[in-house]
Amino acid sequence: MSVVEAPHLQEQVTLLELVDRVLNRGVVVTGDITLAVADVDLVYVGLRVLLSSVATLDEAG
Amino acid sequence: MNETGARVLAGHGDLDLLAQRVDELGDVFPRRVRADPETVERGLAQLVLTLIELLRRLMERQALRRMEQGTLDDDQIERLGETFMRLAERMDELKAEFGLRDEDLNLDLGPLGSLL
Amino acid sequence: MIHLYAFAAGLDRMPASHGLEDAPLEARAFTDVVAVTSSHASSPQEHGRADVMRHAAVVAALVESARAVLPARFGEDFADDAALETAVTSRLPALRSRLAEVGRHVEVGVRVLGGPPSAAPVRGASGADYLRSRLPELRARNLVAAELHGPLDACAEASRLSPSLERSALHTAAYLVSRDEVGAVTSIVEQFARMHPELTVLCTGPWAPYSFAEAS
Repeated sequence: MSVVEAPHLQEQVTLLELVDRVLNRGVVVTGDITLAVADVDLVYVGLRVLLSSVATLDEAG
Repeated sequence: MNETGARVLAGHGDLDLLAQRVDELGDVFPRRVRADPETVERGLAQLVLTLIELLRRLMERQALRRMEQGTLDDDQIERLGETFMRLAERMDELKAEFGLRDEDLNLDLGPLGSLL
Repeated sequence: MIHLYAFAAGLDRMPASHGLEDAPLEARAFTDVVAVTSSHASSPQEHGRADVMRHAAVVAALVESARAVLPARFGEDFADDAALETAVTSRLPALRSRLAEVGRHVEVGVRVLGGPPSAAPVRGASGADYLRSRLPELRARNLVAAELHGPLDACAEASRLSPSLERSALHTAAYLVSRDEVGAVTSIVEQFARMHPELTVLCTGPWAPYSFAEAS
């Protein structure tokens, strides 16, 4: 079905895309992934640093 | 959605597939600012399983390419296929253990996005 | 507590909107990079949908009143000015560079779902059968890469692909384009959708450059 036939669907889909962007994308300056457990901040090394070595592996093969 | 100016520019096919997920947004709100130990464990599992699945897919794609190119003999195809099949089954078991679906393994991996 | 919405360059005027909890928007300048924020009494334990929507509205309003906008991820909260300053000054060159890259461009999102129905691998099959069952999906992805991503990537300033691990998600991507090109991009997607009625194709935008806020 084309989306023009379903305006309610348009709104739902737009909301989904919006929430995905606001929560999962955008620049992070507080530290890459920060979770707090029992008031203790745990900062994880950035995912990109961890995975960039995998990228070079694949480029080779 | 008008407040952001963004909208659907084109949409064809079964968009209900996407719309279903909007219902699941209810789980996202309210969004916990502080994580409890269970959430941390699940978050780590999500991360690890995504990495494993990514690597498994990469290797499987390599095998498929070589199979299409005809550079694998029947024995190799059989052994590779069996291995990947078992890996896929194990992944399903691990996902089930942590209550993760395929959608939960979607992480924006930046440059690695072009690998899959 | 300071809530961060985005970084901006060439901010002519602050948008008329309010931030979360109707707090006024503030501009904190770090030389030519402005951090758009709002101040709050404390960090809430939970954020609701309204907060997320308000954050998005502020970002969208900034796109209209600044030369370049880098959306910040929701949840970038700082205890005080000092904390914000420390975090920003250490990243200033990178932020400046990203702002220069995105400029006035906007983002268009594209998703392709569907593809071969035999998505789930057959259990109990031979290794060779399993591998062969995976070929249709590979071919579908190659097709989308060639017929859709290729042309879109060619007319976009930049692109970001998300590795969708769902079997039915053939392509999830964001394309950075000038506002003038949004129509051309939509046409390419429309044409692809017409050529492949068996697939579900979605194109949304224009968005602020959320997916291009981090370097590739």
